[in-house]
Amino acid sequence: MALFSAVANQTMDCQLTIQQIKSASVFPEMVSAHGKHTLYWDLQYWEFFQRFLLELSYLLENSAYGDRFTERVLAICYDYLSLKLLHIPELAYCIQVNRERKFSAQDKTVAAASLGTLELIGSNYESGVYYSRFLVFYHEFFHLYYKLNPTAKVEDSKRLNKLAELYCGGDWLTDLANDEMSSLLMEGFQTLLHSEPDKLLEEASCDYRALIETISMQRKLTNKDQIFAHELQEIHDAFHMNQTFLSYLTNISSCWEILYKTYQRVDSYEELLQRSQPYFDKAAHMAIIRNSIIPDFLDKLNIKKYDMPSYISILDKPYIKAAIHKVGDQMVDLDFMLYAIEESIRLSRLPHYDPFELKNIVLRNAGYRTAAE
Amino acid sequence: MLIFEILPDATDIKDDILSSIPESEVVSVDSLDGNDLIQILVPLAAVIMPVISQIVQKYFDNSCVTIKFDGIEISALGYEKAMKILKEVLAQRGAAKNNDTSN
Repeated sequence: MALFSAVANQTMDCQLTIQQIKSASVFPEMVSAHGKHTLYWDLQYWEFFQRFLLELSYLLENSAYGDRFTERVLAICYDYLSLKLLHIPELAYCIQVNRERKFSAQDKTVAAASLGTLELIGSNYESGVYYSRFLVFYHEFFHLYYKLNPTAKVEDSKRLNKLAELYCGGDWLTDLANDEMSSLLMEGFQTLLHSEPDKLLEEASCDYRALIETISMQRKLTNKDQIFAHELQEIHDAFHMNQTFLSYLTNISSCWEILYKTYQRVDSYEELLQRSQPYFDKAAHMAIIRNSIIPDFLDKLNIKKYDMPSYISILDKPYIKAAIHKVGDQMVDLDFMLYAIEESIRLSRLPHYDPFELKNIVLRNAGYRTAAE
Repeated sequence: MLIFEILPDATDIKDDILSSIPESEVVSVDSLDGNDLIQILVPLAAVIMPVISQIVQKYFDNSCVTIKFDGIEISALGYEKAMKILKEVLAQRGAAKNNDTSN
C-alpha cells in the first residue's frame, strides 16, 4: 500500500488515501468526495480472485482437473453473487442456500494447506497474485488521473482510437485460422472505435496504462533497463486472468439482476425472455470486449512496443477456455435462475419478511460481523 | 443514511435531488467492475421527510436511479413499501431517543 501511495503522490498533485477494507461491495473502488479521493482496496475481491487463481493454476498443471475446476469456481461465483446481490436480500439468501446445498464441502478461503502445493502448480499463482495487484491499482488510479486531467484522457483515447483504426485496417488478423474469431474481433474493434469516449475507450485506456505502468514498475523494482520476455509474458498472463475473472463476475451479476427485475414486471415467460434478452446480449458483448478484444489488442501493441517475438495467453489453451465457458454457462442457466428468483419472491411475501434481518443473515453466513454484533 | 445511486450522466436528476435536499452529500464512485455511479447521501431526518417522500415517489421507478437504505434497494419494493420502511426507521429512532432522554 505504501508503494501505491508513493506512486500516486509522485504522479499527481492530489490527496489520495488508500484504505484496505473487506466489504460486500467486493470490487476495489475509487471514491471522491469534497476534493478528497480514497481508493478502497477491497480484500473481498482479492480473496475471490486468489481462490480462482489457485483453481486455474491446478487446471494449468493438470487438464484432467476440469470438472473439479468447474465445481470450485462455481462455488466462488455463488459466494460472490450472494454478496453482490445483497441489496436484494431474498435473492442473495436463496443463492447462498443453494450454494451450501451444492458445494457445502468447498472451502471459502484459500487454505494454508493448499498453498503448500504451490511447488506443484508452478509460478502461475505467484506471478498472477503479484502482478494483478499492480494492474488493478493502476487501472483504478488512471480513472482518477483522467478525472483530474481530462486533457490526458482525450489524448490517450485518441491514441488508442488511432491504433485501433490501424489494427482494423491492417493485416494483423490474417494469422487467425478461425474466420469466426476474426469476425468477432473485428466487430469488437468497431464497437471500441465507435464507443462513447467516456466509457469503453476510457476502460481500454486505463487497461493500457495499467499494463505500461506495471511493466515500468517491475523494471524499477528490479533495477533493470529492460524487461525480460518471461516477465512480460507473466504480466500479460496476469492481465488476462484478471480481465477474464472480472468480466465473468460482472456479466453474471448483471444477468441475474436484470432477470430478477424484469421478472417482476412481466406477465409471461415469453415476455420475460423478450425483455431481458437484449440486456443479456449487451452484458455478454461487454464481457467479450473486456476479456478478449481489449486484452488481445493490448497484447499486440506491447508485442511491437517491447519487441516480443510473440505472445500466447495461457488462457488460450482449448481445455482452459472450455472449462471457463462451462462455468459461465452454468452460472446463467435460465432454469436455475428462474427457480432461485421464484423462491426469493415467495420468501419476500412471507408475513414476517424483514429485508434487513435477511441481509444480516447472508452477511453472517459469509463470515461478516453485522452491526448488531 | 438514504442513498440515491444515479448514473454519472444523469446530471438533471442529480441537480434535482441536490436542490431539493441541500443537506445531501455527493460522492462519486469508480468501481473496478465498471459500474461507475454518483451516490447522493441523504440523512434521514423527520424534518425533511416530506421532501424525501416527494423525491422517492418521483424516482423510485426510474431506471437511472437506485434508492438504498442500509444496503437494501428499497426502490425495488415499490413506493408505498419503501416509505413505510423509512417511516418505521424514523419512528424507532425517535422511540430510542426518548428512552435515552428519560434514562
